[in-house]
Amino acid sequence: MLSNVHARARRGELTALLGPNGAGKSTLLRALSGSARPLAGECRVDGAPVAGLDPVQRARVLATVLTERDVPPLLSARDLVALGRHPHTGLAGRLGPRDHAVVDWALDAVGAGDLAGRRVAELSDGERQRVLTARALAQEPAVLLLDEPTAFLDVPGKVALTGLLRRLAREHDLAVVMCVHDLEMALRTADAVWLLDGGSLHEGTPEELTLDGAVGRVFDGADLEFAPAEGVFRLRDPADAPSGAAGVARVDPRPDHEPLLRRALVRAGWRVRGDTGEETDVGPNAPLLVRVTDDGYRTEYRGLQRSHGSLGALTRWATRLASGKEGA
Amino acid sequence: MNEVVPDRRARVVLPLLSAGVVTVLTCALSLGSTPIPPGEVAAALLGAGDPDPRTAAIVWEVRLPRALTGLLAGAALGLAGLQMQTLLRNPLAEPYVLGVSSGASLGVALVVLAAGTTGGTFTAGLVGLGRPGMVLAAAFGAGGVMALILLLARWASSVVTLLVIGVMVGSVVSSVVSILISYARAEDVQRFVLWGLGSFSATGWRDLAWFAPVLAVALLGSAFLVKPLNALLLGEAYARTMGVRTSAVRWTVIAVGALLAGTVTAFCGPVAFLGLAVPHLARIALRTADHRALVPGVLLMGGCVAVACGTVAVLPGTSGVLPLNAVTALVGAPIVIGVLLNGRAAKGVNP
Repeated sequence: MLSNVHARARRGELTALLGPNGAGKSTLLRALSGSARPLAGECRVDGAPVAGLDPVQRARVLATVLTERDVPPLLSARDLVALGRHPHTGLAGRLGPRDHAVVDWALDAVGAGDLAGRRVAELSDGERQRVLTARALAQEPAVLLLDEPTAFLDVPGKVALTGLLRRLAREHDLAVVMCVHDLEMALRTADAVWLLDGGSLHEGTPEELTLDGAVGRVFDGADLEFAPAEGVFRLRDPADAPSGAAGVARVDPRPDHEPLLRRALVRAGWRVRGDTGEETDVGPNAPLLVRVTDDGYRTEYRGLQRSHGSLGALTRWATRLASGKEGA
Repeated sequence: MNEVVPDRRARVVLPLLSAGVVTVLTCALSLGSTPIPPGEVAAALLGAGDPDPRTAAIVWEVRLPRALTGLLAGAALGLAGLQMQTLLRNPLAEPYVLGVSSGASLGVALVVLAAGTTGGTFTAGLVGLGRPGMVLAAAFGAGGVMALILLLARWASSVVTLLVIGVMVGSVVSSVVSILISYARAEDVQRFVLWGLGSFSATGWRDLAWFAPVLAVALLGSAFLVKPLNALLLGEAYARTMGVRTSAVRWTVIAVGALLAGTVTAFCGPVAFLGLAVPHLARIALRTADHRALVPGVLLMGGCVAVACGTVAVLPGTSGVLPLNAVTALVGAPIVIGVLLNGRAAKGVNP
């Protein structure tokens, strides 16, 4: 699926692997972890090809956190992390003093020291993901690979986990590569990005890729577009949208009002400009004027003025107006 | 501080289980159609004093082989069940569900029924080998059917599919066995039916001379599976990232499971429920999923439960003997239902 692709993940950096569904993110990650064999090409860690290592040596260099979430409920968090010592223990799997020390270190590194005695079944999704990350750390790898680590977390959980991954990369000089769906957050938190796009891979810092338009080229759709300056996706201005637009809305340009008014009215189906002007047009192409007053919102449309007590009331009215269900 | 077993609970439970094994062994030697006080049993075993020769004969020739057979069979079935449950990550997996029972039945049916036929067939050669031939036939039958099911498993989308495939293949093999039986002589059929009821009583010292070493080798070999089985707790994909050669481990577990369960089946018949229930009992007792504690746990628990069931089967004070499978089903089925209903409390593996 991918060919002629070359990318480097640096130690001490959190690299986000991004791309639309089906672009091959998970396949690339599996090829890196050695669990799927690429048709061609190789993965090197510190210059040494991974394919040349036997499975145990490879597990000492590369550790992976998979999307698999089913963990035996009877396992304690500490037992789970101790499984990560597998490539370092002998034939009987017996843990020595150093193994125990590494397990404690890994639990502390993800801030899960107090969870050690708890059963995995009792942990929240966020705690479980931290403990699974600690298990990978216990392998003492040079590279940490994570497949959708934030998929089941709420927003604070996603932020906390990505922050943790970046800190782990810095403090322990790891190359951390995670593939994620949450583009906006990845662009804000990752040190570097691998962007997969229909068979090619763009590599750079989030800002580089935003600046040269690669992010927009990969992800822009009919309804959403990437706003490079803000680093977020927004609904396309309805002027470009296939459904057409109700008309032009000119809103209060003050910075504490304009962004929210713009967002609400774009969703309602208006093309939005950030100035209210002074002229009063009453013709069929007259804009909708929206001003913020002390006690709410004041609109003017084709010469008719109206007051709205709240932003919600204004938004619903503007939506009905745009779809022709409300007379001016 | 080096821990041998990971859990403080294991340090209490494993000695308790060992004490339990001693207790049920004592009961197994004392109780039966002729009760013998433990003191006389000890005297007969040690040859101390001047034991009654009839008592010594009962203890040495009947009860001790039966108790040892139960001990080994229970340990073997429990271990095979634990390994299958971990490998397939399913609380209902056990060697019999995956065709060991039906495969071993097929092997034994061929041998038992061929004993009545004449002519230089392959099975007639096995019959010439006597008990070892029957064990070999059972183990090959078990391993063959199990391997077939696991080959089909490559296309199975889920573990439930795999278990259903196991049940279906088992039905096909059972019907082949029924067809074979309909061509057999009545006395051979009766031998086969008796074998199918399960019993620890049919093995004498000469059988144990085969039974014990084979199981001992398989049980010792399982010590090397403890570490990869722990890695498999998170699934095969995770195990691979930890450096486990998963396909080698999978086939080793299958081979060891077929050898353990196939051998027990050859000597004792298809003993139901022990392979399924004993791992759950061990998990309930030890409250851990760690195989470093569970493997000794299932060995002791399996021996304990099997000897107890075998003793109950001969207990009724009369000379009659209950079918062993009736006892193990009465004990095992409620445990399995309880485990499934109780959900995560007792489950060591995922549904």
